[in-house]
Amino acid sequence: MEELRDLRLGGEPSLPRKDERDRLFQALASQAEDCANEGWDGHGAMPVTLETYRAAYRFAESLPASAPSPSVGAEPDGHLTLEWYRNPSRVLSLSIGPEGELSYAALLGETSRRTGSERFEQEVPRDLLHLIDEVFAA
Amino acid sequence: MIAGIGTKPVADEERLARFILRREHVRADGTVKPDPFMPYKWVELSVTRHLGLDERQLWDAGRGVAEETKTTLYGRADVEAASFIRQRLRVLPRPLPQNPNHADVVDWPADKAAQKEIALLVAREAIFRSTPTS
Repeated sequence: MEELRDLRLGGEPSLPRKDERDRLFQALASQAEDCANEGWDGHGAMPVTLETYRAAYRFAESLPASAPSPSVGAEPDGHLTLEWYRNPSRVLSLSIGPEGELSYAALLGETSRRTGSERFEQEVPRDLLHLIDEVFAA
Repeated sequence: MIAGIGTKPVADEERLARFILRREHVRADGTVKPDPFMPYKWVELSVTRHLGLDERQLWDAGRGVAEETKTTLYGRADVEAASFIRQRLRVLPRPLPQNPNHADVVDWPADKAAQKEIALLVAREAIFRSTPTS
C-alpha cells in the first residue's frame, strides 16, 4: 500500500486544516491499510482497494467543514464505511465503493428510516447532507 | 468439544451470537455498529446459537472462530433470532464440524442499501459482551 501512504502524506492542497477532518483522513488511511488483504475480517472479506480508498478520501474531502465528522469502518465486500452516530436509533451508515458507489441507510428515530444509492461525482449528494443534519437534529 | 444441537430448528426467542473480530465494530459507548451484521459473500451471515451452551462453551466457540481465521476475538454481539425474523430473514441451523451450533441468516435482499437498513435495525437490538480476560 505504498501508493496509499503517498496519497495520505502527499499534502493535497485542498486538504482541510481542521484537526477533526485530519483525523478522518488518517482513520480512512489506517482502515484501508488494515483491510488491504483478502480475508481481513476472518471470513473471506474482499480487500479495500486503493480505488476505494481514493473514492472515500475524495468524498471526505467534499464534506462541508461544518459537517460532523463520521467514524470509519469497512464492510466485507471491501467498501469503506462512514457512520454518523448519535444513538442506536439516530444513525446514518454510508458505504463507498471503488467507483464512488454510495449506499446508505439511516435510522431517524424509532420508526423513521431512509435508504438510498447514488454515485459520488464531485459533490456530496444533497440528500446525504440533509440526512446527516437529521441524525443530529434536536 | 462443545455440545451441539444439530439441525433443530431455530426458535424466535433463541439467542444468537455474532462474534466480533474487529475492534472498530464496537462504538465507544459499547453499542455495535451495523458493519459486522452485513452479509457476505454468499449473502448469508454466520452466527452461533446459544442453545445448549454455557458461557464458557460459547466463548470457546468464539475463540475457535478467531483461531481458525487467525483473528482476535474482541467479544460477541448477542441478538434474538426474532431480530432477524422480523426483517423477513430466516435463521437456518448449519452445524459445522468445529462449531455444531453454527447457523446462517439467509434471505437477505440483494440491494446493498436494504441490507444496510436491516443491519442497522439488528445492530440496534444487539448487546455487546467483551471477551472475558480469563
